Amino acid sequence: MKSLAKIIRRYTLTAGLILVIILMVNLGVLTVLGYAGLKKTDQNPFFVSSMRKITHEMTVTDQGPALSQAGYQTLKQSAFLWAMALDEKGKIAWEWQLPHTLLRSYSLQDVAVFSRWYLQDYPVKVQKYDRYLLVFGSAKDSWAKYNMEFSISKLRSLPRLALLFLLINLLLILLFVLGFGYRFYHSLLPIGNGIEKLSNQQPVTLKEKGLIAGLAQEINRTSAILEKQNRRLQQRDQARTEWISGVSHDIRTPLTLIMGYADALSASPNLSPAQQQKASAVFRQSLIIRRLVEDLNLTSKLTYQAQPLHREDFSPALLLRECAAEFYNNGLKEIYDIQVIIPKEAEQIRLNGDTGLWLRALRNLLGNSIRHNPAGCRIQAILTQKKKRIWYEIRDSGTGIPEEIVQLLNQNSAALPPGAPHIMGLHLTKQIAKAHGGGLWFQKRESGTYDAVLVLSSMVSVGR
Amino acid sequence: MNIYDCRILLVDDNRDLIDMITELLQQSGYRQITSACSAAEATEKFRAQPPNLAVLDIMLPDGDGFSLFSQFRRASQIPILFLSARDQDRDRLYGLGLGADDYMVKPFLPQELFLRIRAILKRVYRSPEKSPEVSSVLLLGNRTIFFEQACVRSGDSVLPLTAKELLLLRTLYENRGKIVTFDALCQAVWNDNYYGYENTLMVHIRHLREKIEENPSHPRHLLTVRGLGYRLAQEM
Repeated sequence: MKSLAKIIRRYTLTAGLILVIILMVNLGVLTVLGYAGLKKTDQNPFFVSSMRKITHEMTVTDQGPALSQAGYQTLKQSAFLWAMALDEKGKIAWEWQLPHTLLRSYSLQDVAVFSRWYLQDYPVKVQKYDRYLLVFGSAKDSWAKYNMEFSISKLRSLPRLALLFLLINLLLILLFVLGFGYRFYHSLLPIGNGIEKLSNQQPVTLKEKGLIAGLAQEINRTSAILEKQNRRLQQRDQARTEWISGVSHDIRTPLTLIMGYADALSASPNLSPAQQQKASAVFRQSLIIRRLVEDLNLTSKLTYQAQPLHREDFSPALLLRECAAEFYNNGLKEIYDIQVIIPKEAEQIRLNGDTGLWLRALRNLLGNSIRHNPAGCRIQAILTQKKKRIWYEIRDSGTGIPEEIVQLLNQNSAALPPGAPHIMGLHLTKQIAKAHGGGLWFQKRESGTYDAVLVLSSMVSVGR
Repeated sequence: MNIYDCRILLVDDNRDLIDMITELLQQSGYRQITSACSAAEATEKFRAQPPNLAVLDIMLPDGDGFSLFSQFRRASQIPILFLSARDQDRDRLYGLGLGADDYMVKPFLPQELFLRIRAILKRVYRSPEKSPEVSSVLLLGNRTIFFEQACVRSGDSVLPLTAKELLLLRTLYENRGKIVTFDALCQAVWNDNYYGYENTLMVHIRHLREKIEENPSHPRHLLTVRGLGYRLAQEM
């Protein structure tokens, strides 16, 4: 489930990164907007600077404060709706577009209240001018006024608090992302396990509920389909194996008769030498049929995994010597010479496998060299070990394995390739090696033909 | 008892095969051969005259060879050999597990069947003193090896053989003419793998040659087969 954990890790990182980016963008936008707002202070009646311009156009006469034409022009262009100047007694000394609903004089309490809040719901701003108090009013519901108060100590700690606040926010974001990621991971875990089981050809039954209900349903359906297909394939393979096994069984008894009589006739004194030779040829051919039947049976079983491997620890050096000695002891002609080469360090290798099958694979390779070189040859059987790989190299001084045979064998087909009877032995050898996790490779000679390399499985132990 | 006088019962559903084996066995010198093509016929013939050896097919028209085997074994301890077209490991193991003396898979070489029958009959019906498997005396050129006395005589001199040398020589003698691998020799002598005994085996062979060869540097009897093992040369 490493891949799933990787997906979740990436998801968490991406989510965290997105949140941080959004936060940064927000901060940036706020900064830009704030800066832009500051630049437009002229159109903002609630900024002291616009009031200053109007105040600048005011003068104090004997009749009280007066505003120049330019001042009135500025007032009209501003967002203020009305304006007035109160004298020291709270009476109106100057006014501009003052609503009728407003009083003509104000007490100290009135001034204290509206200077901070509203005057009859008109948001107002005040400014001292000479001995007058200038009051500017804006339209109702145009501005909101809030009175904010901060202690100096808190205000001083504001940068620190802001940083802390930011960190806490980031931490919270991270916690949420991790929490959701973990939940997501847990909800996806059964799906991941299900897919893994499917890839291992195991049946899957997931609970179809929650976030992954739909996915689980699909995986369960896929598993059921695969199981059905596997069952059908197994039935087909079994039928094929049984059919081959049955045919080979039925051939065995008649072949016994052919072999028995042919062998007896080849040595019968009642027959002429020519007739004996013919009987001998029948006997030799029946031996080939016997080998083919046995190989066909075994190859079919190995193809459809119907051949159990009787595994045991064995020494590949011993096996090679045993196989070569078997050829000599069974009357190998003198035109052949099998040279067994086993380095001292390879003597201690121990592998685990079906020795009967490995012996058969070796026999096939050595037998191949002998059969295809009727004029005789020198065969080298070498056991080699490099790192954890162990192999037998079977070289001969004869013709070697032709290119087309190697191509046929290298086809990635589990079944018997076309032209199979001619390469049954090598195909079987390859299957035996594959069943043990090894393989059959080929080394090209200068002449263009090949030598066989039988790769055994990984090493089990070294020592006695 | 002469093994060729032993009564052999052949049971197989294929009449042609029975005829062939009967004919070839008779040619090999066996005189008392009876046959049956079914389990019922085999039971009847077994009751009428119990054989000394039975060769049973497994698949019979009215039963199976395994049941027939059990039936025969309840009545007698005669050696029984299975001869079947069933080549599955489980069948072979089951047959041998029941206590069969051998299990041969068809198609077989007739000669192999006769050799196995002869080996079983010899083992069961020949008294041991009449048939020593391996002679206790071996002649190699002008040297005589006495296995029981564990010594080699050459003219008037007698050289003793050590226990390991004796075991080595006996193993080679039992497989005379054939290559005995280093592994098989180490297993026979030290009951261990070849690895670690390479030099020990070589030293023992050299000592043995010094005792049985006229010229140990150019041996004529105990021959080395390079890379494989040793071979005791056939009689010259």
